Amino acid sequence: MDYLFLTGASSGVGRELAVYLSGSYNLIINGRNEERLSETKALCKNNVLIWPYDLTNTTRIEDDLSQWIKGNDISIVSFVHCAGLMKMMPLRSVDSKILYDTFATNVFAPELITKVLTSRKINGKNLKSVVFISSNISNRGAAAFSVYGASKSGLDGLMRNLAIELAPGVRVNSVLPGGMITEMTKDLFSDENVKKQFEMNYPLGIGTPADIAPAVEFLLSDSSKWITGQQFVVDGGRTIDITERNRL
Amino acid sequence: MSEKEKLALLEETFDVDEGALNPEMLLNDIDEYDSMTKLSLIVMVEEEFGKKLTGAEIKGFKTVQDILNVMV
Repeated sequence: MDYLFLTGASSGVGRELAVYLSGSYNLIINGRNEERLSETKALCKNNVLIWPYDLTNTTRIEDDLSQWIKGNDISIVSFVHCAGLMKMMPLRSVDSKILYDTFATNVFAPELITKVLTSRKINGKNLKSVVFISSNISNRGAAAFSVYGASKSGLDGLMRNLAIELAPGVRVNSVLPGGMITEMTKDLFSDENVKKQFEMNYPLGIGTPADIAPAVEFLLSDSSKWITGQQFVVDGGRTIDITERNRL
Repeated sequence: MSEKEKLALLEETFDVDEGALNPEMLLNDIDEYDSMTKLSLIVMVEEEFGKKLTGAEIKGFKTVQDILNVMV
């Protein structure tokens, strides 16, 4: 049976992507917390398998994932990496642990997972399309975002290089969302000032995960069969806006 | 953690010299108390004391002592 492998599915964007994509795919959902993954599964259609795993365990992930795939006798046709660690942190607060954890989750894990899913012994030639959930900070900059921003630039670098190395069998693209209202950020948006600031900065208003899910589905599908190595910015116009909004 | 140790942590967070802070100082009078310092403060308090400071709490801080009071 053909499956889509989705990381970061226990909450936020990942959970909503799981629900949306479960309409057209059988899913393998990953996250750290088994209970929360079960909650996600309960919201999904079709077949859903759960793989609880901490993606920062980079020394073991290849072996553990390979064993798990063999044990379940499944073929994986698509991979969406939605797991992401984001901590706003001024440079003076940065230490090697947060750098390691962020890059392990945001960059090392998707590379190692893609390696396993393109191994002929583990997954044959089944993998066809990969989508990384990046961020609109990938090509930009913001104060207190050096760790996260660098990791997302790294993720998009990975995306472009894999797109070439794995062509023509596997297409690799990324979606670059802007700030969205999710489980994780809804407290932030309950502050009127923050909400107003966001509304001013987003020409199309504040987005939700439902706004990026169709872009992910498009990049996974055959409708995008001549597209690889691309960043698809879905951020309500946030990063192309050069209007001085406080003067409007 | 003693008050002296807490002040030392704060001095590191504010990126000021050792002994530069005392509890009575008004935060408004400290040049280094800017938005990046406030973010560093959130990170430090979460890491050292396991608490998430809210924007409202931070706005409420007037003196160094107010910050020391949440460092428990």
